[in-house]
Amino acid sequence: MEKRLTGPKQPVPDGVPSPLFLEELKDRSRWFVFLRFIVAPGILLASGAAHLLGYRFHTPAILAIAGMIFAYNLVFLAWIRKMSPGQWESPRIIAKFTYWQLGADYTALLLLIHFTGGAASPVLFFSIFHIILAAMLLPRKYAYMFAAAVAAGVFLIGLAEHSGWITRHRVYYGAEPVLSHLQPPLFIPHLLFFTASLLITAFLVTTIMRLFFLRVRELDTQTGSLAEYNKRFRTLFSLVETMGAIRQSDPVLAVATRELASVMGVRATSVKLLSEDGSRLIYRGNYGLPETFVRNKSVDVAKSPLNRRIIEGEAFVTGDVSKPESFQFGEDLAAARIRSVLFVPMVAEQKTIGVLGAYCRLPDRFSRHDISFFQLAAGLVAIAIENSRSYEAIENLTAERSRFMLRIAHNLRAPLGAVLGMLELLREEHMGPLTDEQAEYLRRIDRRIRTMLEMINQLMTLARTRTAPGEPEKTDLDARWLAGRLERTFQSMAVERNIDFKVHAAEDVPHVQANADQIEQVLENLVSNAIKYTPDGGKVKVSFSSPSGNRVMITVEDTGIGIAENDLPQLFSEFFRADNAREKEELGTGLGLAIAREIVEAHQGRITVESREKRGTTFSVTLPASDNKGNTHGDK
Amino acid sequence: MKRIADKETAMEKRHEILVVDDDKDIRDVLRIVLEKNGYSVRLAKNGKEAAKELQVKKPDLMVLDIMMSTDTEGFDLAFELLNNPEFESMPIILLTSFLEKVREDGPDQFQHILGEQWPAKWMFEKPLNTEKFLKKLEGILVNT
Repeated sequence: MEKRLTGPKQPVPDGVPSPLFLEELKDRSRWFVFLRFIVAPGILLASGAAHLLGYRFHTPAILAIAGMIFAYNLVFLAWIRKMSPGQWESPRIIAKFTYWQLGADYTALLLLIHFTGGAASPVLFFSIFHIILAAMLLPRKYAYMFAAAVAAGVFLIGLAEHSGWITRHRVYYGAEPVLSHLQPPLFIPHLLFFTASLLITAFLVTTIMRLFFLRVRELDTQTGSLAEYNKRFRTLFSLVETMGAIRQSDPVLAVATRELASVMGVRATSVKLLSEDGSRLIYRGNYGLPETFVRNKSVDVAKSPLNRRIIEGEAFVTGDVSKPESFQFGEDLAAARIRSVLFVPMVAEQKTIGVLGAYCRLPDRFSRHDISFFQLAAGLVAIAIENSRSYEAIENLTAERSRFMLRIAHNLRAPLGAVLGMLELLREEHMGPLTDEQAEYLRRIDRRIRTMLEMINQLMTLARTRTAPGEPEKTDLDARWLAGRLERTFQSMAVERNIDFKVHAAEDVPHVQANADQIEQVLENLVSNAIKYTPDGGKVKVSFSSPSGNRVMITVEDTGIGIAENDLPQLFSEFFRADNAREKEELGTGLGLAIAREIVEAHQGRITVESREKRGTTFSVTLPASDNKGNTHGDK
Repeated sequence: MKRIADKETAMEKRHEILVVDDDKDIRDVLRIVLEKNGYSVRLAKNGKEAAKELQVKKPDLMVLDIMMSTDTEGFDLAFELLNNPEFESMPIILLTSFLEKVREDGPDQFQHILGEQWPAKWMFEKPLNTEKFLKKLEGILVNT
């Protein structure tokens, strides 16, 4: 991966372009083939135009050359079509294709020059294009060679024509040959300058191309390192994400070691945690280390120089496994063919809590980038471990507290149970007949004890809703079913007190997603309070409605004693009882509304109260509606 | 009183009930209530004593407290009896001072022992609702 950071530098076989060049070559080759199809019509047009202007030359030869160019270009096109994607990847095949194209063009160019006046041909200027194209397509050396070959070809044609070895084909304007005054003394500097132009063009184009490729290569390197950084960043991000989603350390460490091994491109990674006394490092997580290596093994810090250096505060150490004295289990590493290691400290709250290690099968493998990345990752892993430790501590504490509450519940309820049992024996006159006064006092004792029992029960409920983590188990509840249950539960009580008790649920009230027991407890508490604190002959009205499609509102409205404005803020606090409520009903736990609020809030709902003293009170409970609009039975 | 009147019918059967509870007050209350209702009652204050009493004679029904010297002493005994062909048909009513709800969804102390099983069909919460308890008792005994 260090390689990726400094850019690709593969050795390129001589005469075969580099991969980047190749990509370019591939595109250009195709382009040239399509471009070349313009050449033949171009020659035809140019010949036509020349004839119209009165120039004469060996037209059949020129047309034949145009036909030849068209024909060999068809061959090239077929070649391109026939080439499989795999062959496009092969530098040799592409290079071969390029040389064939240049060769064919070279031949066509020299023929054109020969048939349009030889060394005096106006087509000579077109050689420049060929040189530019060759310089773009070929490495510098080959570009010069091509330029030289063109110049040599023109020289040879000139020489051959001059010596009469081949026929001279002039261009005529009327009877006058064009540029016919160019005789050898004039002709030679002309060709020398022509050659120089070709070479200079080759030089300029190849130089520009080289600079261009250097830039492209630089860009490629940067893209590569950007991609690498992006990958690393993603790894860190996924670590953070995992840490957020999972609180237990083991799964987090499993993800961390796996991701780190993959992004660092190493054989294995490990997380070792320092023991309480700081003498040993214990494997808590690893990826890729052999089972035999990790199992039951912890590292003795004193015997492992590399680990000791980390524990003593070094920011990183890299190690070469060929020096077994650095490792406590050097032979095991060598057996796993690990050649180099990188250890960095895991620091949480300024304390080194362990060592994060990477193991690679390449020697001397870790770069500055690797180390700084690994240090970042180690910081995250340390935080993950600390988080999971705190989370586990809180979980234990919560569980411990719940067990304690259960114990209290048991120990407080057991004696009360015995007392109530014995009291019942007395009140049932199993121990002999009672006077009215005795019976009355035993009744009062019984009542007080039952209130106390109720208080314990309610405290338990409260403790449970507060300590139990997570949400209550919910089912889909039909509001109309709840309404029916309330009506049946309280109808007789209301009749006894001559209270006008009505429960109304609109037809279209949506279902609620709630824990049936808990919601019933809340509603029963509100309704029993309403009846309790409403004078005989009053009214209590419960209605279920849906102010918006996604909420269900339940209001419990009474014409009771009301609540003083001063008391409203404390109404939902534990053990709070309003003075007028105490007057009306001596015994009460003061916990009912506190529990109601806990439960409603655990359901993402709201409970509110409006009241005027001596006029009445309205409690409103709003709960989220369930997605299910109907058809499920309300029963659990 | 109604219950005293019921006594006559129960008397004829003289069903024998073994009450196992470590709380002497509970044992005494249950003894008096059950005897007044015409049952013959034997008492045991822990699992060990209960086992001895069971060896002496198999009762018609056992009332068994769950938490005695250990949290699960009652369960342990109930499981043992469930796996004993001689006693597997003997009805057991479990007693507990735990609130049923707390037991159900608190950090369940018993779950790891019980798994999905429950060693008895009937369970009552203390303080007992005597009337319901006697009704249930009678119902069970009539059916066996």
